[in-house]
Amino acid sequence: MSEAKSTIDRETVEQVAKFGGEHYKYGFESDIDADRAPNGLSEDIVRFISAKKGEPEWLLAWRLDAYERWCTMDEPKWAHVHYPQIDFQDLCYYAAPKSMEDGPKSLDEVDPELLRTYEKLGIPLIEQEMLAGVRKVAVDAVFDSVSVGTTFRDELAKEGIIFCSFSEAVKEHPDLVKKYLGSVIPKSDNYYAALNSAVFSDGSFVYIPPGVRCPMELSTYFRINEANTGQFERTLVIADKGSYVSYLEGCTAPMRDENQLHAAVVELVALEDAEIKYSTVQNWYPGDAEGKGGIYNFVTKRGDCREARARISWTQVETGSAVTWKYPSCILRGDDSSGEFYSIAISNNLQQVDSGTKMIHLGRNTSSKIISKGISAGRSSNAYRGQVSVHPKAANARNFTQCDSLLIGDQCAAHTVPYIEAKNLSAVLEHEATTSKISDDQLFFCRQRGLDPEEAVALIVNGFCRDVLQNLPMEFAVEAQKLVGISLEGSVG
Amino acid sequence: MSALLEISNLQAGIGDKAILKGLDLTIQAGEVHAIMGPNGSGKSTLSYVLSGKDGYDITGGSMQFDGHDLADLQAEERAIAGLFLAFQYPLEIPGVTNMTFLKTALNAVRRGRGEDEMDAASFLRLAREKSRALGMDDDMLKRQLNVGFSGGEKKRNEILQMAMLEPKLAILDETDSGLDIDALKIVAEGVNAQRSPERGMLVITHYQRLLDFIKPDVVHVMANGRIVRSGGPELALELEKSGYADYRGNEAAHA
Amino acid sequence: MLNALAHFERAKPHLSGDVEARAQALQQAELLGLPTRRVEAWHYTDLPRLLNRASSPSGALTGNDFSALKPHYLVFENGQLSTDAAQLSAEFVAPEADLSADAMTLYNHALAENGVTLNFDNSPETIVVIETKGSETQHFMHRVKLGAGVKATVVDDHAALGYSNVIWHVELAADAQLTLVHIQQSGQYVGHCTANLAANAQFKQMTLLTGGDVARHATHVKLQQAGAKADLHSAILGRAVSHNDVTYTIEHQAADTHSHTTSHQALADAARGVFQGKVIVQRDAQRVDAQMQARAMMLSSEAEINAKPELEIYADDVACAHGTAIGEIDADALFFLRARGIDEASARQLLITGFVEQLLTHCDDKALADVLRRHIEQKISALTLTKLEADHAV
Repeated sequence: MSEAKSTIDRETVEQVAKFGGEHYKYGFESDIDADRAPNGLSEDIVRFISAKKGEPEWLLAWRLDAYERWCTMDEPKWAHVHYPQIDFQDLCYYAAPKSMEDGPKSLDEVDPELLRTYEKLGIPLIEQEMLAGVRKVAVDAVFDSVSVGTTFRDELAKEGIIFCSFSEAVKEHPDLVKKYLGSVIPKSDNYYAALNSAVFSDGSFVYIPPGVRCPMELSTYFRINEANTGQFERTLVIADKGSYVSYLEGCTAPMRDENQLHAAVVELVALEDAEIKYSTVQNWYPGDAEGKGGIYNFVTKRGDCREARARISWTQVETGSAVTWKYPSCILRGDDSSGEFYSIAISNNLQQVDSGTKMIHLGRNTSSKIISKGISAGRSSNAYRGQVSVHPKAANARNFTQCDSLLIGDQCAAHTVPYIEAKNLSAVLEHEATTSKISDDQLFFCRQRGLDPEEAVALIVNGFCRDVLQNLPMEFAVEAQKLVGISLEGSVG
Repeated sequence: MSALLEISNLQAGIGDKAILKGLDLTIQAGEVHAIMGPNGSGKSTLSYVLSGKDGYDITGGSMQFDGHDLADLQAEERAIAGLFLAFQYPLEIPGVTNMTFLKTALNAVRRGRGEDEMDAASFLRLAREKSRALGMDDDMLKRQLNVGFSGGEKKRNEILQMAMLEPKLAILDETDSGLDIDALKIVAEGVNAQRSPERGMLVITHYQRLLDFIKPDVVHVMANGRIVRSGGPELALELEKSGYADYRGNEAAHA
Repeated sequence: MLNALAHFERAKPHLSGDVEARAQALQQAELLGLPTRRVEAWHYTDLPRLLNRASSPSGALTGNDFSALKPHYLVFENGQLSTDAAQLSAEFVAPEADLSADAMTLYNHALAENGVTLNFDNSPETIVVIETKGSETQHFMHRVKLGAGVKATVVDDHAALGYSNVIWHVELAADAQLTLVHIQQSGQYVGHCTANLAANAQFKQMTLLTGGDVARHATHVKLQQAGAKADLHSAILGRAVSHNDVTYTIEHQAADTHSHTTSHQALADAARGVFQGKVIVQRDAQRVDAQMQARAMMLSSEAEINAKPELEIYADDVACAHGTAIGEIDADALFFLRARGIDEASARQLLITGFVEQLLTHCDDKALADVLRRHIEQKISALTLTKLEADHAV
């Protein structure tokens, strides 16, 4: 084990070394024939998407209701982000590789060009044991609007675990979908969640049966390829009583001059004694150094600790996107349930991040922990926005929040906007926030020891983020550490 | 004459977890007893149970103190009855000055003992006299209670409170922890100055070191929630050499 | 208050300044309406709802004896000055209506009929106590302007029973030092204080809220030149159904400016506390030190606290930190006191007193600290500390 691990570490180091000089290595575009819906959004488009997926009537009705509500809603303006008005009628809401037209196939029939794309991204869709046999990861790959393949399904099925594309889940497990879809994030929860509910195309579905500890990491890998396309995927993870699952999510997109919209919804449901760990490395294309292009990432993520002693933990590394608007949250409904949020958000150049979490304490003896590390460089803006709310019946609620900002250079901005609300006597809430910079002394010390300025910054920033990086599964932590270095390239002179 | 403190078959714990498992201990007025034992043997629990901290469940046995059944008394009633605990980690209370605190405590105890409250001038004289005797700066009386105090200052402040409240039994819980040798000497001198034929002391410590300065009459070894061996001062020296290894896990052989 | 138009008509004959412009300000204010939760700066204070509900009794008023400070006294009763302001040349100057202002400012610009104007250019250190009494609606515009190096202390002793809309304008020239104390023990006070500080000026504000039905004390400090320092401290003893809101905006506009903010809120009965603190550090304001600490002590199962400590930072070489801690009385501290013979109720009282009196650690003037301490202790002893049943699960 330790030998295998040291080999991996060395390989990782070599790989990282190879990234030197590259700014966004996922910026290539794949030449794949696509089946697209006409641009624009209307009731007809909603019907078109539903028909494409061969959906049952109830789901179409659900979508149409969401669409109707979306039409009456306004785009949220409270976040600390600025971007030109999005023309929702000039977007494509459905694009799928042509080869997928006849519905999902087995993995060995998937278009080789698609497989090559994922290979280039470092995501093997061929079922092989990743990382020299240290650990298996099952992958559901979502390409533009559809899931192109899910690995290790049979092995998981033996444990009774369902891991498939959302479209398949609708067909194969309609009762589960019907029971849990929208039960954490109602379809009219907010503007982008409503939009997603109307036009979501695909995504991943996970169900872990009672008492089962999922034997491998599950992961979704999102890729936007088509130009001028919005991506609206939907993920639903249900951990039944006493089960455990660790879920990873990665995202990339080609470099394009136009902005692209990504409005996903992720719902997590943890029942009694269940635990869900959800990790994200978000590396959407951030736009170029002048702020041209990049993804608008407007995502709604929420977990519901629905029953006693449920645990949900969010870990996110946000390095990409031109604009990020994202608040993975926990509803602590079950007694003795707990929620965690660990976040690293890096912004460089003209990126804008407004991210954070909500911890809603409803049950007794609930606890939550928030560790947020924001790093702003270039002319970027990075905001933490969070809410900790203790309701009157949530006796003995506990929260600890640590919220640190690091500024690199004097043209960036860092904001902290926490809302802390206690309506119960026995609540104990602690919130701490600091702002600091990388000191010249620190930089000098590293350079005196032989590091170049960028290595020095990467080292110091990785140290600053340590509390969060420690919470990532190993392969993600390695990727995240590389990303920290790459995202901050050019941030010091 | 009946004993000052008589603990018999005391059983206590937190929730389902039993910590004290049938402890017996008798202290006569004028005696200094030391309890030594490995970490986790229940020494601090004993001090908290004796002084009435919330959160401990007493499941059996009895604690008689100077004619009182301690279990019947609230924490403050025990203090009034003359039981004093010098805390291992004295609390910091921002906003409350040492002076205000001492005066409030002294008058509460005097009231409870049926004595007149002390007027401001006499109190000030007494506090100054006692604090100077401990080598404390007058300034320490004006500062907020234990806020910004060094480890030594906090412990000295505990001894000052003891001197002011004049207890019948003082429990010193790991008073030596966090003190360098000079601070330890000063604190020990303060304690020794308060030894008297009417007063009992129970010194709880992990190390023999403190007992070089506060000479005990009786030394007990505590393990797994009970007193497993008792003897004279020589027992402490023996422990210093052999350590607690014999007392971990299987205490039956020595019981 | 709720019928501002009628109020304006009644007051019109006595109003000074450009009455026509003031009428326009009123119109604009009525258009905007009283701020609700939808206005972010009022996120936790829904003013129309608070002013319309049954108000909470203020309890017995505590007389504050400032004589040891040897101050100048100015007493307002129902909007009218009942002492002579001439001794201080402190006559009221009517506000100039600013139609772009927010609703509360507009109401004040329209309706302010009194206030003091303190202009100290090179006076020796002056202490002024402004006492406000009466039970009617009152609008005040107070101005304090200190010349270079001038020191002054102004105490706003508010014991009026009705609704008051109060604006404070503070201008401090280089090296000037102002201590502004607010004591509100009754009524509905909606105050907004703006303070502009030049180089090395120091603004110390101490706000003590002990029983007003509605208390909203917003302060906006602009540190405009190097060396300027803001010390903003508040303590709240919330009781009955009182609503207590302290809101700070601290703008570091220049390099080498400093701010230190603390708030201690002890909330009993069904009292509500609000702490909003926003530190803004502008792009060129390097080497700024801004520290903010908000603490709340929950004394009742019906009390509520809402805190929003914000940072908005545009410069990198800064040391900014904020901390918030919310909880009950510390059980260990309580045990410590009881182990020293103090009964539970007295121990609680001592701990609450110590908590609220943290405010005094920022007061350099001993005589002033004594007045504040007496006030706090009287209010705490009047507090009926009902058996505080914590809803502890086993």
